[in-house]
Amino acid sequence: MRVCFLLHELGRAGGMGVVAGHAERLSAREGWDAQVVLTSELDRHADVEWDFALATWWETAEALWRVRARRRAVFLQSLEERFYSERELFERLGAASVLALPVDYLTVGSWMRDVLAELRPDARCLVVRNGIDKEVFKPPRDGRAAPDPDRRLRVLVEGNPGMWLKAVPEAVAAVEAMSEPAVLTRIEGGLDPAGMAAAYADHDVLLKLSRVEGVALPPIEAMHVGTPCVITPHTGHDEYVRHRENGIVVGFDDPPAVTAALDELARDRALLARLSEGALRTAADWPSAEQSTDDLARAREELAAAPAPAVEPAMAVLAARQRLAIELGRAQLGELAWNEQAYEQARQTLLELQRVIGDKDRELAAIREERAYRAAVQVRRILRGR
Amino acid sequence: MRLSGAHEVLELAGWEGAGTDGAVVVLGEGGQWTVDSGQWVVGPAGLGLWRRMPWPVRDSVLQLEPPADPSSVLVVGDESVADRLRENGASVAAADRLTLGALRAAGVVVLLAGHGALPAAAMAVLGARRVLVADATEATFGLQDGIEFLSCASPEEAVARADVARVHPGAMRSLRVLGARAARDHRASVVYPRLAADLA
Repeated sequence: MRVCFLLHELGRAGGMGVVAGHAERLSAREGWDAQVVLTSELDRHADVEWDFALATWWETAEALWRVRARRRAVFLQSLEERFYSERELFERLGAASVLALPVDYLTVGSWMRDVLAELRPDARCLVVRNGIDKEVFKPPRDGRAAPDPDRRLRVLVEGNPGMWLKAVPEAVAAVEAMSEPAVLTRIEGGLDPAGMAAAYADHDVLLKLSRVEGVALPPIEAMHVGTPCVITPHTGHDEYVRHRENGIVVGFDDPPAVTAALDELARDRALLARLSEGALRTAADWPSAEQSTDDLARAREELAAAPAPAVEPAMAVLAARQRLAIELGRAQLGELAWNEQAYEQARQTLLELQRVIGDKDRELAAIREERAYRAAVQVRRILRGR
Repeated sequence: MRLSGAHEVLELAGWEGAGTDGAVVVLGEGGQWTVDSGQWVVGPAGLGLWRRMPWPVRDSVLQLEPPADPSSVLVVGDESVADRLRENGASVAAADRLTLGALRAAGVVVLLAGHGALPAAAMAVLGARRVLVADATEATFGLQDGIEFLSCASPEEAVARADVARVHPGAMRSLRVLGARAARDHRASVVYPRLAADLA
């Protein structure tokens, strides 16, 4: 069985790690050859016929038809158009178009399967939850770190502060606004899984205020270590978070509520302990990385046994989505044209004012050159001299 | 936990599981709230809020039938927007506040609250799979302009967005689907138990 995972780049992003992990574990199985293929290196694999080709990010979707493959699918780890702002219409359209391809789908969260079922009732979509390496993410052998002797709540915030969708500055501000004593640690990346596991274990709570996620891995990784989370109800959170059972759900755009939740945890260590126990119970039911790859192999089998995906329903959805982008783009261009007109009018007004001022300056200079004016100035000086 | 709000508000944002005693959750929007002990105000904007959030959406609203005319527009909060849409040939109803009856008939709902945050009843519109045009330019509570709803910063933009939505109802499909998905996270049976647990 030959499977290729199409990637646009190699990096440390969580989603890339998931893909690389699946490829590695599949390849370790007898009869499987699974490879990560960079879209910049397709020529190196031109002679290979794959049984199954998977796009893993919207920018890799076009490569699905540049490799020889018996079946094609998209591995959805998020609805990627949501990564972009309303001004990034092209990126949004490109990312959304992935949901309108004549292919099968695998996704890491049931919410994405449900959305696809509504957008594309014709499309097959199977859920393969991302697994956790349970050898790495587990409670410390000697138990969780003892509470801070000063009773300070140890809060961990992870994520790239430059990515608006991670809302890291908001998380930091919420901790800084606490009335109870607390210690904040920020991790912006760069730690390997063992380092992340140690970081989770060293903290009482993970604070995650993301606005957009597929199914975020850090909260469920932290739960495996016994660290509960305070979390916004971003997409995918309900795959594992249960309010006041293994974490606390706080609303978007409500900083006082976030701070209040953290203060409550700082004051109520019994609650914190209950959430930690709840987190471990949730983690126990979560698939391991190996189980996740088992699910992926089964899903591939199920998809391969089904008829090839239909083209027409996909095209209809694509046309509708293009129309939305076109109309929103026209509206933006209309507003841009209005702003340009307003700018041009302001510029012309400014030029006219400059011209009038220039005329007046020249007029004034001419007056100053007149003998009568110079005489009047002399008289005034003389009178002042008295 | 009890809920307090006008009948029209509770039709959209009420909860079957609400009790008749205990803490009172007041559904508010804008203004300054001074409440009695045991009362807790939730709403997207205003002073004295316990939780800053759009109102939850009553679960049954998520089951609302599609409108007979997906191009019909309901404008809440600015009669001039309704007038201009009529001039453009739209079938428009106007109202001071959103009601379940008006929501049933509309395919596109323009909510103009004037406080910069997503209007309180926005999730009911999304849950009902109607296209939402709203003057939410500051707090959107996890929603994204152009993905789950259409944002407008002026009456002119409200007219333009509503015109796009009514003229191209087929193109609004992903907005309706993703808007409804977002509203599911704000449904009464999910949010109110959470609030009740916080108050316990």
